Amino acid sequence: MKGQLEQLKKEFVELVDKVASREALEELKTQFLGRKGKLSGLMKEMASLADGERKLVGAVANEVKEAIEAAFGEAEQKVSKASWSATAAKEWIDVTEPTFHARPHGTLHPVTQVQQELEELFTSMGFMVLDGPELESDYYNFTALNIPPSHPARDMQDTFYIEGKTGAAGKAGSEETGWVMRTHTSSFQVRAMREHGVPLRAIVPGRCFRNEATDARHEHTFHQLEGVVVGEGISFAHMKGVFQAVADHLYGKGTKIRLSPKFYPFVEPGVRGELECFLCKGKGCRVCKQSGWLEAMPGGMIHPNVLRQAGIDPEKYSGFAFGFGLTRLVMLKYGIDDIRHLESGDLRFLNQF
Amino acid sequence: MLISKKWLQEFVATPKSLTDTELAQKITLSTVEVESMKDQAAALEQIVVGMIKSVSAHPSADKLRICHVDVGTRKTQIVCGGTNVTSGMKVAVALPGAWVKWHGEGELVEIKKTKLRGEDSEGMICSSNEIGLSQTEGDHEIRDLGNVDAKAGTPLATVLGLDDVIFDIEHKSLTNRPDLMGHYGMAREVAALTKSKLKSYEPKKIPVGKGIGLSVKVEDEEACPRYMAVAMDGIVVGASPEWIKRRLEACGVRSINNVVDVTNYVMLELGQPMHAFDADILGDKIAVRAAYPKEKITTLAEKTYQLDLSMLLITDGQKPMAIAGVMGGEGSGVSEKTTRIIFESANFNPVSVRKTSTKLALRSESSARFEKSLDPNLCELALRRAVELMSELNPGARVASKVIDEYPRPPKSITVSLTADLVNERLGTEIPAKDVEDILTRLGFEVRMKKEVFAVTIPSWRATKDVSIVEDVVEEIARIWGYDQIESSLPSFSIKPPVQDPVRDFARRVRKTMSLGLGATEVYRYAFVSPEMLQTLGFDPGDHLKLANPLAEDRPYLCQSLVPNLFDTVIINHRAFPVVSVFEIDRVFFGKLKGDEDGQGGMLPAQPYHFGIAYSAQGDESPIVELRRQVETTLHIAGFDVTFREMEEPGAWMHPSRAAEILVNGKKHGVLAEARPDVAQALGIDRRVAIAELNLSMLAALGRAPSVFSPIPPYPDAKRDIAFTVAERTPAEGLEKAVRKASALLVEYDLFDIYRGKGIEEGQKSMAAHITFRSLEKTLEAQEVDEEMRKIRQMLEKEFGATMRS
Repeated sequence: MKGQLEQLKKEFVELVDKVASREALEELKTQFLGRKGKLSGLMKEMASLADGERKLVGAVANEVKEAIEAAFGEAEQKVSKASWSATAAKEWIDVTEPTFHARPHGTLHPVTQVQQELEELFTSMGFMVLDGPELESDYYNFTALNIPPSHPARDMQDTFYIEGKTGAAGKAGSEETGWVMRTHTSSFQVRAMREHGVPLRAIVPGRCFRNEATDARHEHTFHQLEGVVVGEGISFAHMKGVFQAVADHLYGKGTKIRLSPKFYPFVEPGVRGELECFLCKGKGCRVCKQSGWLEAMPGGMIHPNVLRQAGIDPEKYSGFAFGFGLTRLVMLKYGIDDIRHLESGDLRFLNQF
Repeated sequence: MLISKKWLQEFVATPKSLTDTELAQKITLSTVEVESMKDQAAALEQIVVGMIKSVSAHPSADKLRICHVDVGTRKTQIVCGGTNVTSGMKVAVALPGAWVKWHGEGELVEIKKTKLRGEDSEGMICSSNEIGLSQTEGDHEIRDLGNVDAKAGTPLATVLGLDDVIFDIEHKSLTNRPDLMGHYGMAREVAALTKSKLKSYEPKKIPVGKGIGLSVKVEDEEACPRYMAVAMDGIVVGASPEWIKRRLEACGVRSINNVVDVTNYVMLELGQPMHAFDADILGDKIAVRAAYPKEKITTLAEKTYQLDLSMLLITDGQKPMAIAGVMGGEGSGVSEKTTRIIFESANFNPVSVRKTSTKLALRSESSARFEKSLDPNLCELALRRAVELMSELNPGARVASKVIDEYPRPPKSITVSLTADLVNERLGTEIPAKDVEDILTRLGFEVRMKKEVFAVTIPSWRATKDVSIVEDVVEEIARIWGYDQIESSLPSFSIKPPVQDPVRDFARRVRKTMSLGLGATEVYRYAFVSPEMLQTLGFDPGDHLKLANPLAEDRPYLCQSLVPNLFDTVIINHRAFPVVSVFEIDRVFFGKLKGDEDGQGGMLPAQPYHFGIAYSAQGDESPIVELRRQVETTLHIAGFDVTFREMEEPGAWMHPSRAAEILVNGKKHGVLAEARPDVAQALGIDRRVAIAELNLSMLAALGRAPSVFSPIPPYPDAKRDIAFTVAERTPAEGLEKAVRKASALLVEYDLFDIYRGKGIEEGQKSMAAHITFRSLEKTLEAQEVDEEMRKIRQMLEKEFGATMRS
C-alpha cells in the first residue's frame, strides 16, 4: 500500500513535468486527484486495512497528496506563465500611435501660473494675500503714497482717469477726489495698513494700467505683485533677506541679487533690485542685454509720510515695500519677446503654457 | 545724459587703479544708473588718415570708383561708392579689422579684405556717420579731412582728439538728483565714491561794468525765485575753439557759435541752463511775467506757440523774448551781427516749467534740468563762469553792466538730527559713527556732533527736493556705505493666522477645474471696450464708466460684463481653432453701484470679479449643452448646488429660446446663453457660440456647503432602467424632480439618453434613465422594486403624458 502511494507520487511528478498546456494539466489533475482518480482509488482501499496499519498508511497518503498538490501548483504557474508570454507577444500595440479624438487639456494663463507660485512662496513665509480695487481713488494711488498733485506721474499722459472724475489732474488745486485706473499695486499699501494694522506682512498681486501706447515692450495693461512688511525694527537688511528668498525660490538657491539706489516718492531709501541673469549666470547674454543682471525687484523702505497716512507712527515702526513686475517675470521665465501676447486672447500663444 | 570722463577729471582725480568699467559700476551701484559706456578711441581702432593718390572708374560698375590710397604704412586699393572723392583728398580710411556702421545704419560691421565687382578692395573710405562722428541721417558724403594737419597713417582718434570715455546716464534715474545734471556735480559724487579730492569751483568774480543800465523786474517770484543777468559788449561772434566743440559734441550738443557754446558749456559743466540775448534787440529792461491769454511767441526753432496764463515769459517790458526756462524766442538770440549780449542765469519753478513744456510739447536741455528743481545758488556760479569763459574766448569782451540779482527769498538751510544707532537700526547694520560722519562730509553735508547726536546740515544742491528728512540722510549713508555691504537677514514675526480671501480661494478652484478638468484655456483681456462692440451686443454705452483720456484708437468704456471680451476672444480664434473653449476671471466696473471707500469719505464704484466662459465648436449646433456642463461641473466641484431656469426676457445678444439663468441655492447668480445667430454673424463669427457669465464675488460670498459623510449602505442597491417618450418641450429638470418624489426608495436618477428623430413621433423625445433604489433596513425584494417602478410609470403617464417604451 505504502509502496503504491510512493509510486503514484513518482508517476505524477514525472508526468506533470512534461505537461505544456492548461488543458492537459487539468486532465492530469482529474486523473490523479479527481473524485474517481487514482489517489482516491487507493484511499478507498485503505478502509479495509487494520486500524494501526491504516493510521500509518493514512499519514503517507496525506504526504503524497500534499506533494502532488504542490507539484501541481508549480506546474500550473509554469503553464500559465508560458501561455501569457504567447498572448503578450500577440497583443503588440504601437505606443507611438497618437491618441485620436483626445480632449486637449486646457491651460492657465502664464501670469496666473507665476502669480500662484509666488503666492505660495509668500504664504509659506506668513504673508497674507490681499486684493484691492483696480479703479482706485487718486488719493490711494497717489496722495497717500507721497505723490503730490503737482507730480509728473499724475499727468494725464501717464494715467487713465475716469470721465467726470479727473480730480486733481483736471483742475489744479482741486479738492475733488479723482478716479484713476491704478497705475501700480502700491495703491493698496495704505489700504492694507489701515485695514490690518501692524505688524503686517502682505502681498497684493494684480492688474495695473498706464496710459501709454503699446509696442513689443510696452502695454497699457500689466500685472504687478506688491509686498508690504511693517513692524518694529524692520530694516533694509530684512528687505534684502526677503528679496534673496524670492530670488532663491524663482531661480535656485544662491541666485545673486544686487541692489542699487532708485527714486520712488513712496520709499526712502528706494532700491532697484536686480537678479543675476538666470540664463547666462551673470556672464552677459541677449536676455540681460550683456549686463549679466535682470532688473526685476524694485522696492524700498516705506516713506514716513506713507506710514503717517496709514495712521502708523514712523518713530515706532518701520517697513519695506516692493512691487515686482509680474508681467516681466513671466516674460523672462518663458522668453516671451512681445508683451502684447499676454492680453491678446490668442490661443496660439496661450495653448503653449 | 552724457558725461565725459576727461571733463570729470578736471575736477576730480580718480585713483589710477580704477578702470572705467569699475567707475561706471560704482556710479550705478551707489548713485545713478550708467546705461552704457563708450570709449571713443576703441570705436575708431584701425581707422586712419588716408591720402587719395588717384581715382579711376570701376571697369564694371558705374557708381563705384577705384581709389589708390596712401595709408601710411603702405599704398592700398579701395573701391569706393562716394561721389565726392577726388585725388589729393584726405579721408578717413577704415582698414581691415575696423568696425563701421554700413551707410550709417544698423549694427557695426567688421571691414575685411574683399573683392567688389571683381576689383580688390582693402578697406573703406568712410563718411562721418559710418564711423559714428555724425548722427545726421543721409549724411553719406565722404568726410573730407582737408583741414587736418596730420600725415597719412595717423590714427583718426588722435587726429580728432577723440580719446575720451563717455558715460551715458539713464535719464529717469536722475529724477531726484538735479545736482548731477552737470559735470561738476557728478565729479563731487565720484569724489565721494572713490574717496578722492574734489577741486573747488571758483570762477572769477564779475567786475562791475558800465555802458548798459540793465534792470530786471520779476513779477512772479514763485515762478522765478531768482533771476541774475549781466551784459557784455565787445563781442565778436564766431566759431568756438576745437576744445569747446569737442566737449560739447562728446555730450551730444551741437556747436553753434562761441556765445551760445559758452552758455551750453556752462550748462553741461554746472547743470545750470543759461540764455544769451542780443542786448541791442532785448534792450536794457527785462520783465519776467506770466503770458497773456493767447499771447504768441515764435521760438528760435522757428515754431510759433500760443501761450496761456500759466506760462512764464522773459520780455523786453512788452514783447515776449523767451519762454522762461524752456526756449528762447526768434530774433532775440545771438546772431553774427551781435556785439552786445545779456547773459541770463535764473532759477525757475520746476512745476511751472514742466507744465509749460508739457502743454506746448516743447522739451529742451534747459526744461529737462529746471523740471528737476535746481539749486538757486548755481545761478551765481554759472554767471561768473560764463563771463570768465566769454572773456577767454573773446579777449575784447568786457562786462558792460552791473550784475543783476533778483533773489528776494533765499531758502533757509535745513538741519536734521540723527544718531549712528538710528542709522544702524533702520539699515540692520553696524556702521561706526565715524564712518557716518565721513560719508556725509564727503557728500558735502555739514556735520556737527553733540554727544551722540549728529546735527546734519543739507547742502543747497541737495536740499531743493531730494534730502529733507532723517530717512533721506539714512539713504545717503546706506548707498555710499554700499547696499552690497548690508548683510541680508529675515525679520521675525509673531504668528498671526492670515485673513482668508474667499474670492481668491474660489477663483483658484474655478481656474483649476476649467483648465485641467474641462480643457478650457484661461484668457486675460483688457478692461476696456469699444462703443461699437457694446452696441452690437445691445449694451448701452451710456450705462458704462468711461475713461477721460483713452488711448487714441483704443476702447474708451470700462467693461461692465465679460461678454464683449468673450465674443472678441471667439472672433480672434474661431478661424484657426475648430474648438474654442475659453474662460476669463476679471473685475468689471459698475458706475452706479458702490464699492470700496476712497480714503476721503466717498465711495468707489463696485468692481466685482466676474467669471465668463465661451464655447464654440465647428459643427456643434447646440454649444449651450457643453457650456452648461462646464458651468455645472465647475460649480459642483466648488461645492455649490446649481440649477438652470429658462430666461423669461433674454438679453439682446441672446438666442431667444436658448438662454437660461444660472441659479445657485435657488438664486440667480449668472446667465448662460447661445448667441443670436444674427449677432454672431454681425461679429463675423460663422458658427454657433455659447457664453456664460457669473458673478464670482457674489458666489464666493455664499461660502461652500459643508460636505458631510454618508454611511456606506449596508444592503445592496437595486437598479432598473426606464425609457419613455414625452413632449419635446418638457423640461428635464422638472421631470426629474417629479420622478424623485414618486418613490421614497429612489436614491439615484441618472438620465443617460435623450433621443429625437427616426422612430419617435414629431414633437416628442425619448428619454432613458438608470434608476437606483435602496433601503437602509433590508435587501429589497424584486416585487417591492417592481411596485416602485409601477408608481413612477403611472406618475409619468398621468402627469407628463409619457408613453412607456418598454
